[in-house]
Amino acid sequence: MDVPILHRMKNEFDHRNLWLQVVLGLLSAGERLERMLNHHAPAHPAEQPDGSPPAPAEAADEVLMAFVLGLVGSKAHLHEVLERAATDGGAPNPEPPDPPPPSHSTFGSFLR
Amino acid sequence: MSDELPTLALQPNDDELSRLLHEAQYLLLKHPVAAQAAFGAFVAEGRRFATTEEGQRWESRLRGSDLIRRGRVVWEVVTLKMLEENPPDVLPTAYLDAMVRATSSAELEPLLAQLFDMGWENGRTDPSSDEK
Repeated sequence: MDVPILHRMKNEFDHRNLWLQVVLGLLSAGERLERMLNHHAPAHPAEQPDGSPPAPAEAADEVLMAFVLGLVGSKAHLHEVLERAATDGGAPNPEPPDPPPPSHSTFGSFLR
Repeated sequence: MSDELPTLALQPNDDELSRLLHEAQYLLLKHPVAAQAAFGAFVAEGRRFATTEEGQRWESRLRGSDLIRRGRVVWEVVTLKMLEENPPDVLPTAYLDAMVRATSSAELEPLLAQLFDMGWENGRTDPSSDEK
């Protein structure tokens, strides 16, 4: 008998949920990145650790700069998404959707 | 004779630092395709982020910092200059949005089941992208 996957997962918020661990891992890495950037690239140049004025970046630095910016942008986006999800998903859904028809339960069958 | 006990100052463990950098290098050599894809995706994400107000603030913070200037030397040695800027088809944040959209879909199971029916044409999931 096909058992849809959505109705088999009752207590998914524990260490067995690897998606949860991935999200927590990304959050942790993002927090660490922000702390590191706040220390090494402070908001005001005068706050440079050695007190020296910043030197201009070379053209070859651009790709690494874009890479770091990509990490920062992704981290900011992750925060936005999670905050939105926490706000929207905090309340229980009063009317859960009907279970899908058996003909579409390939995924559930595959995992069983 | 002083009553003070001799003290031992521990220096940062450079062996550990070298080992970690070497480990990162090994990871890159072990998974070059995945590393290139991740790198290209984040560079493209950074280019997009730099067009936003917040991205420009961050760019001005990073520009001229030792993290970027000296970091490039470390980066190039660790990565053996293997990684190149290769614009991907999809940005990392688009994958994140897709995950969120999927979780809020009322038809989640049919949507996931659909993945098993989709093909891979020339390493791509969108046949129309070959025409570009």
